[in-house]
Amino acid sequence: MAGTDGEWEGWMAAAQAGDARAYDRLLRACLPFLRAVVRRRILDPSEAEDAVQDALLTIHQLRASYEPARPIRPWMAAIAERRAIDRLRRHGRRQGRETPIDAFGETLAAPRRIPPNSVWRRRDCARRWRSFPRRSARPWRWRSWRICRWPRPVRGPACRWVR
Amino acid sequence: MRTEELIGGLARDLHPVRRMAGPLVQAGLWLGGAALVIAIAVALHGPRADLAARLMLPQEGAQLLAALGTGVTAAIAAALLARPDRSRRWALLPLPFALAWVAMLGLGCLGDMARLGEAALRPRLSTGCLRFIIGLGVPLGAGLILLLRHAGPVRPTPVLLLAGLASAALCSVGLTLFHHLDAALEVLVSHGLAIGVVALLGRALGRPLLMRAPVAA
Repeated sequence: MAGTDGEWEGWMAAAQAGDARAYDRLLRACLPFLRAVVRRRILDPSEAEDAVQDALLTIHQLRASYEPARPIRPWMAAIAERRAIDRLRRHGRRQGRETPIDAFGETLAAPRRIPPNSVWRRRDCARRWRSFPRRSARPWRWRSWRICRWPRPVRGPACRWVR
Repeated sequence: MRTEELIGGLARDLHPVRRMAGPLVQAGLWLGGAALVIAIAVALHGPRADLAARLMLPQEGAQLLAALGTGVTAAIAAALLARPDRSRRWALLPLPFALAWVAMLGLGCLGDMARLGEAALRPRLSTGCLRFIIGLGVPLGAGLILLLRHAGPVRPTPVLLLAGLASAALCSVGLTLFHHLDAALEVLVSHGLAIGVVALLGRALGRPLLMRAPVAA
């Protein structure tokens, strides 16, 4: 729904006056346009749809500042672009803090189910302790022992004696 | 929430809004108000006795005009940039005036150095200047930011900086009308510092003042 020249602008002017039907028509008609603008920046479809929704909310918030004498498409495109950039920034910040663990799911073996604080846990603990390489002349072995100790593979009172 | 549902909700909650005045009208309104406030402040302090004689000097008059031009163009640029569809390049509008102003003050420094020798280069800070520009510039700038708060969700930073620049430059013009300060370096340091402080205050405090961008849940 591309809309003829001036149609969207007329709908927006009517929406500023309170015409809900014109507003509904305008937002539905401009949806493909907003999606196209956002998809130029965001590849992930669900993230892009969130940015489109942000853009719709901003358009709603700023509708009083639209001047009907000017074309509406650059106005909408600027808003959608801004919201897409905001989403990307937020996404980037989140990625800096979090690590997606789904990607490793297939490479790790299923965890052994050992009830906490049981004899099995203590045995497991002792077995791990025995399996630690003793101090060796080869520095990489020594380093691997250090890595094994932290983070501790088994926690709790059951293996306090190990420390 | 699906986007179509969101659109339905937005259309249902629609209520009529008063269309905002154009950016030039907004800038003009603020400039008028600021001129009034600064004129009152100057009248309260009493204009300097040799004002007419000073304004006749080509260099002083040109400096004043450049500062005035910086303030007026910065306010216009801020109002234009607050609209999402206007070009980003409007931010450059006050640049020629600001450069001319700084260049003229720099020339004044050189003139002082020729006249007074080394003493002209001792940087001094006039706290009266700072107090006036910051004390009057911050409320005026806050007024402009409030008028242009629709810039918040789209282009906050340049609008905030330009609003601070506009109000500080106009206050600096008002200050020249009553304050007796001859050393160009002192003017440059005091006014430059005050304008920088006002612009940065606008940047720091404006973000919470301006409305935030909405985020879809």
